[in-house]
Amino acid sequence: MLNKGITDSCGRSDEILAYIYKEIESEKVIGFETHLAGCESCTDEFAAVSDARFSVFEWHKEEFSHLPTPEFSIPYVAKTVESAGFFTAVGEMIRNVGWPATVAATIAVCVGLGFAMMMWVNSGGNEIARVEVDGGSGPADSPSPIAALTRPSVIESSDRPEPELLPNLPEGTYVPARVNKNRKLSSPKAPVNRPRTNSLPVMSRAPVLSSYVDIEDRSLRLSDLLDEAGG
Amino acid sequence: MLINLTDEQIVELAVREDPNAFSEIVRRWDRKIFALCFGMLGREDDARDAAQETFIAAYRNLAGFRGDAKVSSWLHRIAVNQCLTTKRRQRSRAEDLIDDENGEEDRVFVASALNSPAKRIEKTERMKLVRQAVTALPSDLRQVIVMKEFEEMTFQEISETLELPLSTVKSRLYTALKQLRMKLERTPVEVV
Repeated sequence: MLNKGITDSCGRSDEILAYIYKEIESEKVIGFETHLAGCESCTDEFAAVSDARFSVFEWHKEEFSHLPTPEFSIPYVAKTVESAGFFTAVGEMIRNVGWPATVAATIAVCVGLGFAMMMWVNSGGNEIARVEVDGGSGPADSPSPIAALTRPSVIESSDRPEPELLPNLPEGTYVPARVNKNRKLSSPKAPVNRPRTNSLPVMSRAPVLSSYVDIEDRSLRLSDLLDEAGG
Repeated sequence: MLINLTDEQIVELAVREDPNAFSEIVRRWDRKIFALCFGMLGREDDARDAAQETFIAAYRNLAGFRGDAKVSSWLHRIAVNQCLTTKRRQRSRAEDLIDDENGEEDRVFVASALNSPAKRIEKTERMKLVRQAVTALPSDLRQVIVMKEFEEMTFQEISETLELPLSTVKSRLYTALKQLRMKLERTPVEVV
């Protein structure tokens, strides 16, 4: 009988249940009441369901309604985060952990740092630092493989990319010159001699947007923002 | 003596010889009629008034009772009409109660019957039976009953909570109430 729908003589058991629990649609109320007043079968069915429902309602009212709703109090521990100083925090940690463990942990950290420093020095960190500081003179001129790899590349103006290295672009495409910020000028006031060896056509008019290919890195830099703000 | 008679015999007796025999009909049916009125009106005060008016109307129309019908159906029809009258009255905001010269006397009669010591004992016994009947229901039916009556959830909320179709929820509740009534009918409350 379960889950096979509600069946009775008039097929209105669904409405009976909805009416008793006040969940019937408002537009169906008048029609159901009119039917109920004239249908003996539905009236008896309504009375039977109401009787059973009232028994449960009465039971609930008599045995449970007077019982107060229990109050559940969960003892949450509110952690108060105080803005203690570094040394206060360290002292608190030492008190919690204990002195022997703290000393052992400190020694372990020092040994680890020392070992890391030794590894870094042995791996040529000095060489790199010397190359970057000295620029083009001194040990940087020596044929050290590490220096050759890590030395910042200095590209003169004549070292511009060859035309054949550029991608095949349609004719008339404007290709701006690549700006190398690491370029080293021999003299600030020396005229930059830029031979027009590039085979690209010289643009005499404004580039067409549709054929413009921007290969320059124009991403927003924090330094640019600071310069604008300062200017 | 009246206890051994059927409802129809009591009504016949009340019509022909002893009008006071109708009190036995009231005693037998007051709770069921009140439950019907409660199911229609949803409020205990209104249901109590409607049940009282139902018995008054039945008593006044004893001569109109047809012997081919059951007394229960006759009372049910009167109660339904009385509840509809009450609802119409509530809708039109005319909340005046029918107040005739015998009304107060009848009210005292019904109220005293509902609050008599015998009724209180009967109620206690019935609560025990209801508890046993609800406990004996299959768990899926009992679950719907508890959610509807104790938690006061709507059919839609029960459907979503149990992840069941709405029709299944209604079917289970209807089946539960029918089984509950059958269990309660099989074990009538006996009050000495």
